[in-house]
Amino acid sequence: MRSVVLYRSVIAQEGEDQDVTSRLTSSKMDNATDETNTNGTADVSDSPEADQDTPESSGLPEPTLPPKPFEPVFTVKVTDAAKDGEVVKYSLKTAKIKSESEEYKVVRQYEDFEWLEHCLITQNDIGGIIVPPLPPKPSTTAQSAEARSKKQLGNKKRHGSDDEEGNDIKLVVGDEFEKDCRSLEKYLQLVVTHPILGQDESITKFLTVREAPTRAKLKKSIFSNLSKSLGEARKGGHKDVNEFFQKERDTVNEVSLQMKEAKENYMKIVYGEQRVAVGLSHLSTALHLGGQLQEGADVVVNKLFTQFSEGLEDAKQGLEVMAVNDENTLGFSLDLYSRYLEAEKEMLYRRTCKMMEFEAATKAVEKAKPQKRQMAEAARDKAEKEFEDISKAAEKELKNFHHQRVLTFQDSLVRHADAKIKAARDTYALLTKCVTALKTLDTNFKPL
Amino acid sequence: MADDREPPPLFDDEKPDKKEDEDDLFATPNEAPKEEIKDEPASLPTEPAQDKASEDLFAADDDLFGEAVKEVDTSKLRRKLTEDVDDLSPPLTPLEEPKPLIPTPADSSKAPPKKEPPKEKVKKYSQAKEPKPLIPTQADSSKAPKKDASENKNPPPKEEAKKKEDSQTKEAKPSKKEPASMAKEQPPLKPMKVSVDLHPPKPGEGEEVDLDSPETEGPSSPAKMEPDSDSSPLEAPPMAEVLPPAKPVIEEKPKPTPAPRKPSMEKSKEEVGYTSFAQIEEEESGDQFALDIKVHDPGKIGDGMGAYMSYKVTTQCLDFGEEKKTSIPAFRRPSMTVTRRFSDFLGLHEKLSQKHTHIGRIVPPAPEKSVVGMTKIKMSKEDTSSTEFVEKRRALLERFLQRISLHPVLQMDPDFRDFLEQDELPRATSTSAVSGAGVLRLIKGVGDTFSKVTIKMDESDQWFEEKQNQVEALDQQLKKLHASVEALVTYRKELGISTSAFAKSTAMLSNSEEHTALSRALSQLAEVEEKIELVHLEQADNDFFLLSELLKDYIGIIQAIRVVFHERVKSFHNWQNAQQNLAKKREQEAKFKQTGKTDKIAQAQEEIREWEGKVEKGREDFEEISKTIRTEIRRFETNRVKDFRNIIIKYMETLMNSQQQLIKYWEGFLPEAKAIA
Repeated sequence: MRSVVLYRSVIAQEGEDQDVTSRLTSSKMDNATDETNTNGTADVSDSPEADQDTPESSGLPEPTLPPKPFEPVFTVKVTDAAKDGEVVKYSLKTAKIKSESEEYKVVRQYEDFEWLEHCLITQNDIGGIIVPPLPPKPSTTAQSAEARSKKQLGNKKRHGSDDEEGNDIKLVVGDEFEKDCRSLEKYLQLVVTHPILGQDESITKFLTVREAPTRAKLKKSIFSNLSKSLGEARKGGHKDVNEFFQKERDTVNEVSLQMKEAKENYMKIVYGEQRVAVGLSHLSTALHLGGQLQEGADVVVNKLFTQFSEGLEDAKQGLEVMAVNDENTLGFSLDLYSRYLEAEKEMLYRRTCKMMEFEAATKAVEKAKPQKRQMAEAARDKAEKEFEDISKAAEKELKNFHHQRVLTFQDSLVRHADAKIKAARDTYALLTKCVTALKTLDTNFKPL
Repeated sequence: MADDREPPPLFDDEKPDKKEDEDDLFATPNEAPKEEIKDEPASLPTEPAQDKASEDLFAADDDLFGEAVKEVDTSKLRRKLTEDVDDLSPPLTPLEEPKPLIPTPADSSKAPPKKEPPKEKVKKYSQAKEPKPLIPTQADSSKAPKKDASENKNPPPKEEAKKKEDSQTKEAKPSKKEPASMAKEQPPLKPMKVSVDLHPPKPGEGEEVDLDSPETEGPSSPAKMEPDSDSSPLEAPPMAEVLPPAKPVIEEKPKPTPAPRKPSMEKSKEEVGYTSFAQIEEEESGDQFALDIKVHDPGKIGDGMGAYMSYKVTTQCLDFGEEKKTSIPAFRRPSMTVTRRFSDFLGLHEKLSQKHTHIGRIVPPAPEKSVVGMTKIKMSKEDTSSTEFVEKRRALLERFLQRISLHPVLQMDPDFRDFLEQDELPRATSTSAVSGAGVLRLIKGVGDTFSKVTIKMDESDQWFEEKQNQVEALDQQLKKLHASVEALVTYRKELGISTSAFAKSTAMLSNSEEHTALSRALSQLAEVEEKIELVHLEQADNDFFLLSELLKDYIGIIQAIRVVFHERVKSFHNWQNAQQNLAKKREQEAKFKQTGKTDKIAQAQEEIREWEGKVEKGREDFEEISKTIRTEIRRFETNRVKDFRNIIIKYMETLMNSQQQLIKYWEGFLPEAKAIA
């Protein structure tokens, strides 16, 4: 039994030339006609990604790495996700940039991504690298979905309505896989376009070999993360020898917190928009339900209500589109960078550790007794070299990272504003239509 | 019954005197003929509300579109005015007279000073009103350009169609009018039409109106016209003023008098949009006139638990009191302001319902007394925390008074008049004891028992049975809607809060951002989000004040209807009781006759007569209340359609406005984002 869950196209911002109505109506039909959407879906949701990435991949390497411009080997798309039993499988489509004819299609699941990350971390010298963050494992269970929708709707019951209605609110949240696909795709793109990680063998394998790599159980995560954060807390305060890094460390600590907060608040807006949309749709339904009275003034009022409820439906559509677009543009970037900044923190932490090792080694040299002095000096030199290497790599990486960050934010802000404007315009046009209809509505009736 | 009915006629009697007073104050030479059109005002009273609504409605459109049109409009109007006068007056009146008078209509400063303010108002109204009859079309046309810009949809065909319609109606018209004046009026009219007056795409209604007006008013107006213009040449100019903006249909009526230009305009609107309403109003009420009531400047008086809120109530007579003077007791002043406290409003409601409820009139529900809200106000030192509450209540009170003022009978009630007019009002003591909530509870209890009572009363009248069911269904529906809207308001406010939270985080991000351009863009984003928060909150207010309050008002009115139904049942029972008693008495008499107790027969017969009278009265009362209720319900339904239509349109326009603001803000932000890198 394989239940295929398709994710729908929601990003309306691409449909510039489409007719307003048809656009909104098409998203109106989304739930009902998922299948018809499949083909179009992948393209629509992918294209913004591609758009977004081109400036980064092409614009980046040249200015920052003049000596050896890095050319990513692949372009990756996560085209689809399907639920197979308990496991969600993601379809990946990879093309070699140099020879476009070469195309690979593989199916991977989240554990494979984890394994890939593990390989990338262990098989590369990641000291000065900001490792692209793997998105958290998407929850696929019913409970988690429920919890999430609760979060979106707020836990409090709506006042002024009976429980039954309160339970009624179900957000028509787009299929959650879509978001996961996008996050994973972004992850892969970040890896592929990374000057060092992009050349790694494991990513090539991951993208091109049909069979999934062996799935070793990775238990490290929780434990190592815990010890790491403890260490960070301890060593985080250590003063840096280098002003640049000291500043970077201070900022990133601050910014990553703010970024997380901003992301959360932003998601609240998105949820808020969805909630208002639900409220509008409830009202519009209620207006429809009233339409059973068939005499005199009621006929007219019902006509008014029907038209009104259509108008509200339009407003609701507009809001839903806005919410989805918000999540896909600015929300996506905020989410990515709230994680990415963590990765930067980790990298800086690794460097701080090296620095402390080096300092310890230096001290050891001073304290060392003559007979051990040579050994200590060797150790110190080694530590120093390591530290310098990592600092150098880190500096380069950071420059790159921030450049990318600014570009990403620019892009997402522009698209965000664009999408807002478009959605608002469309909604406005629809509302205008509705108001006209309302005004021309024949309100005469024969009193009984 | 009869007693209660009496006041209105009384007023009518007083009327002439008052009218004379006003004549002294306001009379302009050309106003004399006004009395002749007494019948016109019939439909007027309900219109002001609509006007206001429409004015508001069009405020938005004006921003987008109407500005230019308006300007053209007025200038043309002026120019045309003079032209028209020149053209029109020669055939009708000696040339010398109109000429010097021409400035009068255009430049009303020459009118007696007292008249000034109202006149200004009229003008404003008439301008604002011009679009009104066109509502449908105007929306079309205002939309069209926008769409053109954004989507390249072509409205031309539509417009053409409309123009065609215009010309059709125009062509149709001349036949009904005196050819002489018509021919001249037509040419200047045309340009106006193209710019402003796109005939509504409701040919059906338009025709209806066309048909109606000649029949009802047409015959009288031409007749009036000539004498008028002969007697006072002044007439011509104002006439001209009316004509251009007015629709073809209207032109027949405005002519007779100068002052009614406003009424006539309104009438025309009525006819276009609400033909049947106008008719209904005409039938049901001979004397109505329009009041513009505003409740404003709420202020806290006193401190501590003794504190209370006072409100200023300003009433404006909408300047056609004059021509109806004969039939309507106009106020002593055209505009008056009094200070009232909340309990005064409750007192007014109490008085009105005592007088009117039991004879089947639906008295608009009294505002609810809120202990919580009031206590807050009493406790709070500064007003900020309670402004929302106060504003809600202010709006509520205003609607309460407006509803009364729109009622043909209630608006004539001396208590209502006193409330609006008297500087000092006897303190309403009883109401302080019976709070609004208490009254409501009482009413609710009545409503509950009432349903039981009805079961006992075998409903002979199917209309009432249906209406009662219908009203109950309506109540359910409105309550459901109300709950939905309330929820929506809450969501909207939450969205506002989230937006503001995000604005704050963005501002913080912008502070620690090192990239200058990105930092600036982020701080811009923060600003935009702050503005958007306001948009959300404003929309939440609109959700509330337009939709939620409307629904709540109507839920209240339905309560009042229930009470009225209950009164009818009570009346029925009185009648039935009387009948039973009569039957008993008759039995008694028969018994006496049988038993031969002749001495008691006379007394019994006396009693029978007495009870016969009571039965008769009971029957009359019952029939009377049934009749009144029918009228009241009809009024209610008419108003319901009007209210809901207006509010829904207004609300939709606030939604549009919100979207517009969003577009504006994000468009402002876009270049900033693009400038980041």
